[in-house]
Amino acid sequence: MPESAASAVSDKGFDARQLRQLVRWLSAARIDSFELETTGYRLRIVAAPDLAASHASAAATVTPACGRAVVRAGARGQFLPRHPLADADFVQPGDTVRPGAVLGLIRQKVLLLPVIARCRGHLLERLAEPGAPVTPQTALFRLALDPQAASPFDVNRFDLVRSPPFKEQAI
Amino acid sequence: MMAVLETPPFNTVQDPGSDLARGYGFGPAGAMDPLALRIGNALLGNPDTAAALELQMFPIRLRLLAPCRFAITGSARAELDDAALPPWWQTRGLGDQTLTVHGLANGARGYLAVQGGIDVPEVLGSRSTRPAGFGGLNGRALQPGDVIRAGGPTFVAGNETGFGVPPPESVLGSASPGHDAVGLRLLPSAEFDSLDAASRRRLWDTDWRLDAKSNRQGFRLAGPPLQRQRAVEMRSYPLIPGALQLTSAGSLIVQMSDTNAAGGYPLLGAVIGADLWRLAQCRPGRAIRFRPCHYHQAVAAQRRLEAWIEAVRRAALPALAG
Repeated sequence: MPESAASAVSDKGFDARQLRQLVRWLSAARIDSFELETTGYRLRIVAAPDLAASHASAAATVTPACGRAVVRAGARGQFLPRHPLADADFVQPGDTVRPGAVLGLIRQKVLLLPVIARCRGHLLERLAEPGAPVTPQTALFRLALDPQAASPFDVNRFDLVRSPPFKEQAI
Repeated sequence: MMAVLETPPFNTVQDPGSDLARGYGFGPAGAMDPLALRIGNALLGNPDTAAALELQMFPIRLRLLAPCRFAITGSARAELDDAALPPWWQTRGLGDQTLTVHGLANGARGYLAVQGGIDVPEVLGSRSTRPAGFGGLNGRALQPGDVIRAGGPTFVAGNETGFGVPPPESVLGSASPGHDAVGLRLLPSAEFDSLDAASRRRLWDTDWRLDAKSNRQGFRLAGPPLQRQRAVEMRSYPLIPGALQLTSAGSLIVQMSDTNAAGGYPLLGAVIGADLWRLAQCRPGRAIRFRPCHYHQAVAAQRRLEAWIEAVRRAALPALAG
């Protein structure tokens, strides 16, 4: 995402250095647009159209808007909100989500691809049924973003809030 | 490159094993769950013959000393620092991270494969750790302080998010649908016909329990004693993993990866190769039911398993590139 694509409207909420860092995070996370509104200022960053189009990939994408984000499948396949060996879904409404968290899986032929959260927040709702066929644009989850996150787009480290509910082996 | 921070006993380096050592009186050794080893290698683009860690006791903690790509398969799941990874999964580590592997309740053994395979010397055609005290990493189980090195290049560029496969139970199905016991297809052979009629029925009708006195050499099965029509003195014969023997006391033993090269108990049959992973993942107390199987059924089951592994390998290579 080139910096020229970013249009920021703020009331001294961010300085240029912070904005550049924010753009780097968004670009690394392949997020096409970002909007943050709070008392005294409003920030909106939009990727250049050609770059936004190139973001389609097997990885899930997030489109934040006004403090909420929709997580899309990012791949064609079958949606699985829980691992076949697990007793419960990866995340449930109300759960806190951190960047890199696995929210669900897309079964694509013999592989399972992760649906990854790209930003910090908590899960509002699941939008697709288990086993539903999905396309890259299918909305799977709605998140409420956490505006207080210090580094909301750190995608280089998986960072689950809690372990998936697999049955542990007792030794 | 990984350093072992903490490990319980009995965790070793294993590859598919080799028959080259038979001439020296050693069995094949190798991974108890060959399917989990091969899927781990397939997810990483490794050859089938690459060595991995076989984990029988948990948890094990390792420090990633350099960027690497790894896979967790079998009955295990991992945490990379505090990030939980799903079972049957491959991903990359960026280095300076702690990898903790836990066991799952549904099985007995997990596998940690690294891209490039684990670099230990090949001895008698295999990198597996042998109970005789050679092979693997210094001929012994892992210890804290051991350093695990990859034998080939690792590619941490490309896929960032990781990916996995469904567990084999959900792909290959149960060998005994509708029954709680683990179904194992058995190819009757050799001395099977020497059992008396009641014992033959009991072999198929009993829920055998895996005895706690079981290890990588063999699994003892608890159940009613079986009897032969008459005792016959036998010569020793070559053993393979899966060979089902009848002891002089009438109990059953299934030979496993660390089987001796030869044995002399009457041979009732062999668990087919395509079901050895199911047996390897049984924990003590688990019920096992044998189902009769013909040669062509065993071959068909193996082909189905091979087709899945090949499909995973074909799908994983472009996915690794991201």
